[in-house]
Amino acid sequence: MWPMRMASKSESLPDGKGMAPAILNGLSDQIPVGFFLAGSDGELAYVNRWLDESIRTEREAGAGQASSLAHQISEAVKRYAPADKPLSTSITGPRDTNFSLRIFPLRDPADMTLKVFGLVEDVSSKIHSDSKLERKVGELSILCELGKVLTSALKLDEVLGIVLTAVTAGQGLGFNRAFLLLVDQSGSALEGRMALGPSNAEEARRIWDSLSAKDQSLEEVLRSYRSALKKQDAQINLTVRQLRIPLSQQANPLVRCMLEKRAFVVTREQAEPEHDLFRMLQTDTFAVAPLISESKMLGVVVADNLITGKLIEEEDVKLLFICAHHASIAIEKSGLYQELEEKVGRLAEANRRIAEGSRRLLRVERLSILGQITSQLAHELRNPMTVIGGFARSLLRKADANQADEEYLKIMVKETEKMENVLNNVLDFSKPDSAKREMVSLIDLVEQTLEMMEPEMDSAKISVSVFADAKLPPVRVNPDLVRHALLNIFRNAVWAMPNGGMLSIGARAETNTLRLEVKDTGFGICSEHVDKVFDPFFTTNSEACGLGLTIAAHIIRTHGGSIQVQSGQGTGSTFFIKLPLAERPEEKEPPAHKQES
Amino acid sequence: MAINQTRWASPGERKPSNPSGSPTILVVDDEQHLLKLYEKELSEEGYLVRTATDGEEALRMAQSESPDLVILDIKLQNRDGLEVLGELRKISQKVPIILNSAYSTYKSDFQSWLADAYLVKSPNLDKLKEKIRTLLDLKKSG
Repeated sequence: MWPMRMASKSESLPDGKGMAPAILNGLSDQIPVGFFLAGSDGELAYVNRWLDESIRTEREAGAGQASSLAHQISEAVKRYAPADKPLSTSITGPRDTNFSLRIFPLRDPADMTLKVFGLVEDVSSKIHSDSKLERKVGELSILCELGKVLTSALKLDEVLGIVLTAVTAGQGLGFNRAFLLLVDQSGSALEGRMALGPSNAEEARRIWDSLSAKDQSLEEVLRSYRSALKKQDAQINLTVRQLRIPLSQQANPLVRCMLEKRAFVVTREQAEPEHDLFRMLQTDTFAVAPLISESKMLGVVVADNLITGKLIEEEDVKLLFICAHHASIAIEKSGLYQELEEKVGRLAEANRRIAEGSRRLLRVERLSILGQITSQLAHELRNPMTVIGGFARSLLRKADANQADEEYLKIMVKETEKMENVLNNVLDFSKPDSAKREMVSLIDLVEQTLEMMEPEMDSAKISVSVFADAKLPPVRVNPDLVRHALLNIFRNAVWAMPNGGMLSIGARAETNTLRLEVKDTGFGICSEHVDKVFDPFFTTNSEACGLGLTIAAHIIRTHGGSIQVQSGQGTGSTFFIKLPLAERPEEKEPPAHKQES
Repeated sequence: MAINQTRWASPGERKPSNPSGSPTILVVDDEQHLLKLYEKELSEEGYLVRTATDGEEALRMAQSESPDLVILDIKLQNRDGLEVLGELRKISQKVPIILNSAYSTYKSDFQSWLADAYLVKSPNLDKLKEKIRTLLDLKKSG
């Protein structure tokens, strides 16, 4: 600016040559810049009106001699004039006024003595706006750092913790305390979620001392928010969780904040009816900013300066508002993340089920291979077993009752009987499911099986009752196989009731399925065995081979059904059997059949 | 699972019995030890027991010995027992044949229906003995 003025002045000189001294005097009186002429000893020879007035105003305001503008100008001239070079410096006047001072040494053409021409400008307002700019830069950097940290936060609690830290950290917004309230799941009330801040002045001092000692950047503070939360949040978090404000209370400042989508300061005087809120927060003044996404109200962030009592300024509220805006985005994002996590969870569950399904298939396949092998093995064993057992019987018939041999022969006979029993069961098990399926009533099969077992039941003192719907729809099964399955299940029940008891059989139709329940009052199955009762060769009965229930389950499953058992030791067992109901007659291939291929 | 119906209602040709008068039973099985067991057990029941270890021998003996009853295994070394069953039936419609196998699966094979009975092998020969008695009685009365 300076050289420009020089240039314009020199250009206008030819016209100004004849300019009356009065005009120049007027100019020097009106220009809002001070200028002076002084000797090199600092003695002011001339001051224009602006400078004169400034000096006078200052004197009237009672500024001390040392800090007065005139004195400081004189001192500067005295110090810098001998250098004989133009120079700029600044002067701080009383009451935060700031001046810039430029001095230009001149040689008096008359006696060549050193004189000084000076310009004085009030720059107080410029400095003020510079500091404002600085503050804005500071705020922007806070928001930038907050944004950076929030970007990487995915969990809601993490987001909330970071926001609270940013609001309270000295490097951040610098509030004493901050509270977060979120709209609950049903969308009917604001609920206190999390808070950060000391509960009293002493605690505050301790925390702030330790924080300032660390000399961290805001980003570092935010990243370590967890440790900050752990140390400070106990009491204040209990308080905040008690807060619950129905959204219907539209006069409540927190609800209003969300509805109006703006941040503001609330004082006790303004909001007297809400004294509860002030009582719970134990504060008289607080700032509140809304957490809102595009479509919905998420909650509010409340901040106050309870400990220091520092006034909450408009700038603080603005910053809180912007901070809350950042937080809203992060909270919404965390919601999406949570949804995503849930979806991932559901997929993992589906995956687990598929894996389980394929394991089950593998088991079926293994069982079928096992079936083939055992079938082969059983036939190979049957001949030698027949020979050994047969000769043992033959010898036993002629043996002398008193000889030890007789006992040994008896053992041989008994053991081969057991062996035969195993082989019979293995063969039944590995028998291919005959394609001969018929439409039958399951309850008829139950009754036929029970009829067959009547002598067994009678001698074991077991009473039998059958409950069934009068008109049960038919099932499409191989009756021989299903009778065999029922026989094995009923035999298991008989064995479980050595001292007699009750066998109840219930049947009812459900959509597409027929449910059969077989309940005994026997000694039950202990919990660690429940899962194993259908496993091949598992038994607690020394007389049995452990295939009865395996075969029963196999038969039920090859018919597209399922079997489960529920039991408690001493309380009896209940077998739950499901069989698919027969398809309508026009459908030639029932799905149950297809599954097996 | 015995097939109880009488297949031959009308009296057919009757081959001379052995001199002792006790019925002759032909046992066909490739297991020597099993043959030994049957031989012992059935002769103790008063039958005259003849044994064959393969299908050809069985067919030969069926003609030369004219047994009153045949006990036939299905798995034979060089011939399928069910085939032998068919051949035996051609020789005589009248002689009762009991299929005796380690397998129960052949019960559903229609070829096995040509036999008069189907018994799964067991160390307990009581059922077999009973079946022999029944079939021989039936044959006598038939």
